[in-house]
Amino acid sequence: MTNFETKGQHFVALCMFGMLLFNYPILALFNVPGTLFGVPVLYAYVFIVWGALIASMAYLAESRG
Amino acid sequence: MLHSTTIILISFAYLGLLFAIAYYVDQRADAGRPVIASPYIYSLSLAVYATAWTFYGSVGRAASDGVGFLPIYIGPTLMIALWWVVLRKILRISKRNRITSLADFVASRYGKSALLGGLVTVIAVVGILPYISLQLKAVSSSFTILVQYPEIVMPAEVGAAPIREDTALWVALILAAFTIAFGTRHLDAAEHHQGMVAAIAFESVVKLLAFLAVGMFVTFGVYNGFSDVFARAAAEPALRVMLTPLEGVAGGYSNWVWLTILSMMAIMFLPRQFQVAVIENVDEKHLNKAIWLFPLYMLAINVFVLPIAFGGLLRFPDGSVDADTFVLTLPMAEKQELLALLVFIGGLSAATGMVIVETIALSTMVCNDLVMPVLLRLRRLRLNERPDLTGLLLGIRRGAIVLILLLGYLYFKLAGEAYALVSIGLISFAAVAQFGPAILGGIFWKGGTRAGALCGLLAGFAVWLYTLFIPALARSEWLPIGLLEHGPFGIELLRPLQLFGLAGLDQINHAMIWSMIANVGAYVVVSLAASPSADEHRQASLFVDVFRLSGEAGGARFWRGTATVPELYNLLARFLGSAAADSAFAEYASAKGLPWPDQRLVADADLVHYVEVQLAGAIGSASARVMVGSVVKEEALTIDEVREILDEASQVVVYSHRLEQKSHELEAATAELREANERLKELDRLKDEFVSTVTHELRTPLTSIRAFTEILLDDPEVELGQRRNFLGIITKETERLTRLINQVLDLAKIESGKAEWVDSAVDMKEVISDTLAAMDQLFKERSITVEALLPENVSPVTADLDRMIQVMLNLLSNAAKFCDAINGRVEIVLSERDGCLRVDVRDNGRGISPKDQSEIFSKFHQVGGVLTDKPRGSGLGLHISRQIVEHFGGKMWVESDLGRGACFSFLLPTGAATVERVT
Amino acid sequence: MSKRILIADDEPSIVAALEYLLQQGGYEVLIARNGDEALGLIEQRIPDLVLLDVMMPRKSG
Repeated sequence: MTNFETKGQHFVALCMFGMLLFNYPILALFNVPGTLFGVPVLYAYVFIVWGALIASMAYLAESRG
Repeated sequence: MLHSTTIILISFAYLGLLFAIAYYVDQRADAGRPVIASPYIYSLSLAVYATAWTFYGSVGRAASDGVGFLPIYIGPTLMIALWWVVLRKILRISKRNRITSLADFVASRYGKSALLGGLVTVIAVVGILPYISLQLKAVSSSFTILVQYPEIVMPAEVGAAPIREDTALWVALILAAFTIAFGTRHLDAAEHHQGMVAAIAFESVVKLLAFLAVGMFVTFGVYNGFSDVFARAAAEPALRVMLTPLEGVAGGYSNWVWLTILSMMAIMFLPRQFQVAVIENVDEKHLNKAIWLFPLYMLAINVFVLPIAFGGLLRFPDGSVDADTFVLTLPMAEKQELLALLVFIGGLSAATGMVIVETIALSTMVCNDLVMPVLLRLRRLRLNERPDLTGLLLGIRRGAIVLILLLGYLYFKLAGEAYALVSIGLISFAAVAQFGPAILGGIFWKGGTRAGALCGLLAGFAVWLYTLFIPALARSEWLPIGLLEHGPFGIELLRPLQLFGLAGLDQINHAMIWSMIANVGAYVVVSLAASPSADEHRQASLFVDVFRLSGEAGGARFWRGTATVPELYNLLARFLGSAAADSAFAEYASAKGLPWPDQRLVADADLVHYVEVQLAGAIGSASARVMVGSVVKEEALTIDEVREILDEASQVVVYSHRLEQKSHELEAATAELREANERLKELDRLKDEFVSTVTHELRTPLTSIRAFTEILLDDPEVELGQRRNFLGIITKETERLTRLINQVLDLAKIESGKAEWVDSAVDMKEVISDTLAAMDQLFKERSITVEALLPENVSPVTADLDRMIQVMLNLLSNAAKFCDAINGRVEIVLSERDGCLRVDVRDNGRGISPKDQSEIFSKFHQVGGVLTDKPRGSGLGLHISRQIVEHFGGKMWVESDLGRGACFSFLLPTGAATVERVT
Repeated sequence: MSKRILIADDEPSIVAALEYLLQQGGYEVLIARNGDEALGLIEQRIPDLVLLDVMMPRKSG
């Protein structure tokens, strides 16, 4: 399998993983009162996961093979 | 400071700046020093996705829904992860096929169908109208609000303005002029608008900075950071519920999911996104950076949305201020004039970016895929005669731009007030989502046909119209509201917002579900119902297999026709101008190793394909096809011929397989023949041996017969005793000769299978007794003791009586010959066991050496030894005896030790069991 | 003294015929039935002539 294809598969996996994390029921887990660093839990969760997702995409895209 | 004049002047200054940037970049590009070969500019240009909707509407949505605004940006992030493969594929396809627009992509994939291109264009235009109207609304509203400074008054309270003072209309007209100046200065073969891309990138920076500025101001200026804002919000009971926003919201989660899916479609199929991501892309490698930079941009621009939203809710608790305007009204409320102005410019930036790119993309589609095909077909002759069409093309585009913006304004006037910004935008999203099945199916599934795509698009679009577009008009009372409440003609099942009874869903969700069912369903079913045409087949391969095909060679093979080089040149010149045509032909010629112009250039399939591709860059592939077709006398390849070409290739493979097979068979046959030949040669040798042996055996007795006969003849005085002796010898030799000849004949008959066997039930006891009786005389003469052990009764065997006698005679005479000279003794034993009869004939002679034992049954073998005047055999007796026994399914062998006599035995089946035949 | 001839042949009738004819011719005849016998007789009483058959049991001619 070429490097290109491997990366393609990793990206697809990333996308699916993201869909999982941003969906019911996992999303519902965080839909609770309380704060994380002063930010409501759900909001914090969404932004942190989003940021992590982007970081992973950056790593995958820029890494050499 | 915030007078209307000031604001207007600053706005114009800003637009002027944009124009300057675009102009500068275009100049450099024309001079051959392109600026935008940078992945950062590419990534920023993609941010045109964030429009005034993002700028104002996100906060508006957040104020009512909490995180409900985020799927619009998370969805694209997820989709962009797939871009590594999907967008790359689209990029490559588009580069290879010189795709100039979204409609062109769809049309090209499905057999260069002009009809499909036109349909896509119509859907795109109608679908985007709400979106454009949204931008107009945002700009005019923000202007109206800002002008009221320091009062904060909502535009709705200001009242509807007469046409001449209608800000939105002015905005529309100004933007139209601006866009025309931006995008229609000349025709580019590849539809690149480098200046526009640079300007858009700049705008993306501006709007981000503006938003970050106001965000930081609210979060850290007005309040004390994020925690402060949220803590204060938590203190308000009305707001607390928003901190866990997904709870208890009807269909909250399904909303989230559908919004995500919708946005994933939008990031690909919004005409402006397709334009900047695909058409304007100059280097596939830029994708690698954009894949994470763009999502990062979206994250950045959304970080402060929630603080601003809550800040606004806290600041304007009574709901008198529209949440959509918080971004602007908060700085205004805090007396930050400069910041408010910056925000306004940010919003303007976002709106203009969207309008420019979207309108240029739409006008290209209208020109190439809607108007031109119609014109070419309607007044074909006239257009063919016109030497220069570039003016016409540009004119069509400019007209389209104006028309689209005016229609956008019209929609705003008719329906814009009924909804919040976000909802308006989502209607457009749902419209372009209808392209999803046809396009995504088109690049992964070769089975997708033109008819399928047509039906899918029509079905999806129809549902969209009915469930979203019409209700918007109804809500604004341009259509009877009863339509929504009771359904058309009172049919409740067909109520636009609860189609077929599917209730309880958000309007957008509801529309998406039904339109996707209709779209995908029609696409798949109709595609499977009929097989693709030759054109569709070819295009499907070019698209789906783009990663596997090398270069553009794939297209030219499937073509047949006649054309001349001047005709092709004129065609190209008519649309691109003679300068562009010259350079195109020069490039092609040099690739063939020829100068241009040159007589030797041949109008073959390659050139025609090349010209078509160049032409497609200007007028779209469907129209290019038509134009080239009118010049070239083309013979269409039927699907069968295409299949034939492909089959030929596979046939050659099959044929060579068969050839291989045949040669293998040939080898095997040759080997067999060689073997048979060897066997024949061996048999021939044996025959020669046989002949020479037999003749020798015949000659010997003949010689002695002749010798003695001559002796007696020559000498009458031979003594009587001698005479008697000699005559006796003659007689014996004659007998011997006869015997030999008989045996040879017998053997020949048996071996050739021509012997006559008389099968009957033979009693071996009788046979043995009879034979002994016959030889009694001989045994007595030689004083040989004979002992026979014969049981009372034995089962009969199926055999030939005479032959069995022959066998017994042979064995007994042998025994008599070779038993001891003085005390000769012969023993015969007959027994029955295991369904066989066994006969043993034993003598007490000298025995047979092991070497002789193995040879003794072969032809002409005679055991040597001291020979007196015993009657000599032929050497064939035992051989024949064995043949006879074996013929009846029996076995014969000898057991002997030297000095202890020999015992010849044979078995014969009685019919109860068969003895194995000895070969 | 008469000449001595050795007949080496395993075929009795041939031998008989030759023997009679040669004796009628006044020769002394020696008889061997096979190769071994022939060799033995040659050693004992050297013949002047040997009539040799090729195909004989034991030692051939």
